[in-house]
Amino acid sequence: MVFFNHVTKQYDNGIVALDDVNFFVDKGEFVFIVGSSGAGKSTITKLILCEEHPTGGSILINGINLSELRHREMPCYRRQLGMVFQDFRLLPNKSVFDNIAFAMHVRSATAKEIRRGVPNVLAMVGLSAKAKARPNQLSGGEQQRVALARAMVNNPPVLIADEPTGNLDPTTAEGIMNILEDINKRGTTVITVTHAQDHVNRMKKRVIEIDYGKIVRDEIGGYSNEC
Amino acid sequence: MNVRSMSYFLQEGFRSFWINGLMSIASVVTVTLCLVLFGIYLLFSANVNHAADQLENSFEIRVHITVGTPGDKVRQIGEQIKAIDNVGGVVFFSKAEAFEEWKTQFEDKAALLEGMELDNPLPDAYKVTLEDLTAIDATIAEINKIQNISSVKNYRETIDRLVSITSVVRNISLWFMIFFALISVFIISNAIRLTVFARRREVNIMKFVGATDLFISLPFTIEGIIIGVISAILSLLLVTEGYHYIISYVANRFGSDVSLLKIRDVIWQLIGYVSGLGVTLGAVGSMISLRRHLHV
Repeated sequence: MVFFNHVTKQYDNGIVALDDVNFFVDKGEFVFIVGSSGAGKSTITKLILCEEHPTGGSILINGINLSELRHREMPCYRRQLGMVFQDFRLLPNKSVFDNIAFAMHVRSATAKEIRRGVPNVLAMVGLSAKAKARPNQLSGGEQQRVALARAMVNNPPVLIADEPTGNLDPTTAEGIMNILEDINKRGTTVITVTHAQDHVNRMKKRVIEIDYGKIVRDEIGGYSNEC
Repeated sequence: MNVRSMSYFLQEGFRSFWINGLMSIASVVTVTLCLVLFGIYLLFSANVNHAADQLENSFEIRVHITVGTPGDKVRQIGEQIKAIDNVGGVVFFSKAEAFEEWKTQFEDKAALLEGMELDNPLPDAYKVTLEDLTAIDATIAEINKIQNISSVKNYRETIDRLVSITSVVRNISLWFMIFFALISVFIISNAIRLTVFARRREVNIMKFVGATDLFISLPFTIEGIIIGVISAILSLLLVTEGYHYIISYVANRFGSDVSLLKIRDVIWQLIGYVSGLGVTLGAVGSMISLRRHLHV
């Protein structure tokens, strides 16, 4: 499903963010990628999103070799990913409903599909009552749930969450993690980049720890070796 | 792209124009000002060309026929002149009309000419207008080949001056237009770039959700076209109202000495160019401004 094969990423300023990284995430897995700031975690999500390109090695996502992806094929590829970011990245001028509907419009969904699909995912994240609200009228936790709903509305095989609880209080963050777990239980592969030790320790999922651009641990367990 | 997605893009374009309130108004004001200046230039240019055409068309050379040439021969000469290339119009000017003209030129001393009409020494002539004044020498040479022509009065110096003045005015207005077009493009593309820059985050989000470049840019382009159309309508209203005022002012101040083109003579040209420029600048400006934010 997600395969990093000897991936190296060196930025133009000379910093090596990833150094010969190898891992494979199978269909339906839930994986945490953890590590200190600057360890290279976010570079992994940037590479998966094709926001950056590896300087060595190759990446395969859902059978697609990202090195061979052309610019015009990028939108189609990105539609196969659900993305959730720390800063939510919602369209500020659109309502909750329209933010989610936008993800369906880009894949040419019919009005009927949109009318059916958006309420379904809003119910899944518990925001049915907020369909008409604008992002700035929602709390951080609610905005992140909208982002999750948008990420899931097209039923992507893989969901990437980059610090999804970074801006949230512990209780709200737990709610978001529970939704991610639910999504994973429905069969979606979930890769979560996080600093949230409590949640990683509580959920006991596979953890890939990155340090100075290298994988130093890859096992089911807690945030660190001691857990 | 189907009808459904087109209606989505149109809806998004209008919605975005409406939601961006102040930014949309700022863009409309900027584009309107540019189009007003462009409209003023168009009217100025049309009037300069009109005046130059009037001067050129009213200019004539006079072909004198040898005294004593019989009437049918004189008519034949008229036909021969008409057949020459570059000859616009040929009007017979009899010796009696020439004498009357002479008398008006002498004004108060016209009494001196009394009695001379019985033995009028002036020749019959043809007044000839030309299509292209710059080719006057070749045309006169052709006329001179015709028999029974005594002289061709060509006002060479006046023609040269006229040709040089009109070409200078036309050149100046052309450079003025080029300069003005560049200024307009600069101002409008900056206004649109500001709008797009303010919304670059939005463009980024759309890219990450998997929207194609076309999907992202079409609503922006439609928004740009809406800005262009509204600005064109506003500027046309301002320019035509202003021009009405100028026409009546000029008529009151200078009477019939100066004749400006009527608004109906230029309105379609004005609508065509101003709307065309407004829509093109709105659409192309938004596309150009978007390009750099699309490569994510």
